[in-house]
Amino acid sequence: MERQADPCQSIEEFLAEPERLKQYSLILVTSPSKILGGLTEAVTYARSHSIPLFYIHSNGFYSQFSVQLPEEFPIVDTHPDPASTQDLRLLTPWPELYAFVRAKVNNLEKLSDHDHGHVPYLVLLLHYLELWKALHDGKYPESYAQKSEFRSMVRNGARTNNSEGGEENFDEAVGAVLKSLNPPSISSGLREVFEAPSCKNPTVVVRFQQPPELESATDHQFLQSANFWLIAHAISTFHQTQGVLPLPGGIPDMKAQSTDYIQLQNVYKIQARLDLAEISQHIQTLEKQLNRPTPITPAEIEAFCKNAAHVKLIKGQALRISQPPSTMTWAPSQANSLLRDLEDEDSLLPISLCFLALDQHLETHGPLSPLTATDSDALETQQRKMKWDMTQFTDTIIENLKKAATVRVETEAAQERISKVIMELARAGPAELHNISALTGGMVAQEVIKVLTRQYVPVDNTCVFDGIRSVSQVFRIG
Amino acid sequence: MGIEILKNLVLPGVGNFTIVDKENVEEEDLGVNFFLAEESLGRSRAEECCKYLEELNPEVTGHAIHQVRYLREPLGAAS
Repeated sequence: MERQADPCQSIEEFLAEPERLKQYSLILVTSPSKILGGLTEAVTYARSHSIPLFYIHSNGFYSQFSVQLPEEFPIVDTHPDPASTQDLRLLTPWPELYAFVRAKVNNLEKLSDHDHGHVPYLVLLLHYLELWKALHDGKYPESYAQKSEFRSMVRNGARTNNSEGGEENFDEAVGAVLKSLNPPSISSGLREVFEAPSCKNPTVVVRFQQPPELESATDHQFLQSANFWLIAHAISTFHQTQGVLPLPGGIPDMKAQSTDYIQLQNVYKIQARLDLAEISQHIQTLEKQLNRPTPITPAEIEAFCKNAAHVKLIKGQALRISQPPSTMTWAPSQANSLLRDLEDEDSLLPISLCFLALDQHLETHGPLSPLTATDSDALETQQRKMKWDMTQFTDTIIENLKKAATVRVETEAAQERISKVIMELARAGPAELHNISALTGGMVAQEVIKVLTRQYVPVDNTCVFDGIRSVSQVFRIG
Repeated sequence: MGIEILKNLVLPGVGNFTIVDKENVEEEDLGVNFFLAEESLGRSRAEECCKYLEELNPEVTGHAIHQVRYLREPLGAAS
């Protein structure tokens, strides 16, 4: 359980103690209306221990959250859109699938109307693909024109002399032509994973990162990372030798007789299991070589194989903490992209820059007091100081961005928009608006859950909400 | 802000959370934070929030760290 902090301990000292923070799997920092205390320490700890960290602002009508993910943050279960993702290997069928198809279409013309209308559409497509190949030199339909021609060929196979004027299974086949007949290829996200040094040489990663015992959240993080690279390596090898990714094994719903559907489903499931077994075997061999104390569970390997086509590797960016603006440096490509974004009148980047300015103002001037109209002099002074300070800050940032950039951009309009944001932040002072915070809280919680469960792709890395126009925007600021 | 995030994490069952906050509950906190009650006034903000957040989900445990001070105290109060 928790040890209570030593009464005299400062928050910075507390955060600088790795022992103290070991048990946490994620850190949330909300920007106080007081001072920056603790943020730098938290960010540094999080970065070096591969713990995700969120930094959140909510002032007046504006809010923002930035997430600092670990340098290597792989996600296996990205929950892709199911319609776009089924791998049915129509262009790379295996012997058992061929055999099943041939058995079903034996004497296709002589089948009763009922049976003809219940041939599963996958079988129809595979059958007609064979017919096409015979007429086209062993090649599959490639261009759009060829696929259209193929589609007509399938459509013409349907019997129309019945009460529906057609057959549902043939309709399904025709509808699937354009999206199902693409040669196997891997997504850019997966290619990035396969080409990463950690994938090519996972043994290095595992030896370096594998902790002897799992004590802290960081240890778990490293273990997950090591597991990921081992599996990725095995799948990459599989892909190199077989030319395809492991078969996920699922098939869509379709019009068919139950027995046929189940048989077809089994053909796919069996092949998927064979692919999985080959990959698992490879992984087990690697793990034996590495003497791993905790081997990867079969469930984890299976989950990766099912989702292989859609895994994503995020390279977490370090959080940019506010500093005196003249000391903030920008890479040319970063400066270019930020300046270009500022040219867009709808961009919410001004809000982000103003939050940096606000943080720096608090750092140098101390906390904002919650003043009301009754303290009008004090309030006016506080607001005036804020506006002046923040305008100086943002002007300097823009100047530095322009110096670092290789593109020439006009920034007057952007600076005008920035001054409006400053006005709102000065008006709001330390106050949070409950509804803005509630909405932001919802967004942040959702991202936190994505990060903790390693499912879905989290925001990378900043999301800004403009409560005046009710719009949000995501960018990568580093 | 923090309390809104925690509410959304406690409801689905985050397991454990820790709030680090040295402040005590003041009047103005009551207006924006519905996880504090009038009886909370003067007590540790972290502890009071924990108490009420835990009510949302019996399977979640909250911890509070409130005895810390900020190293960099404000450079003179803003008037």
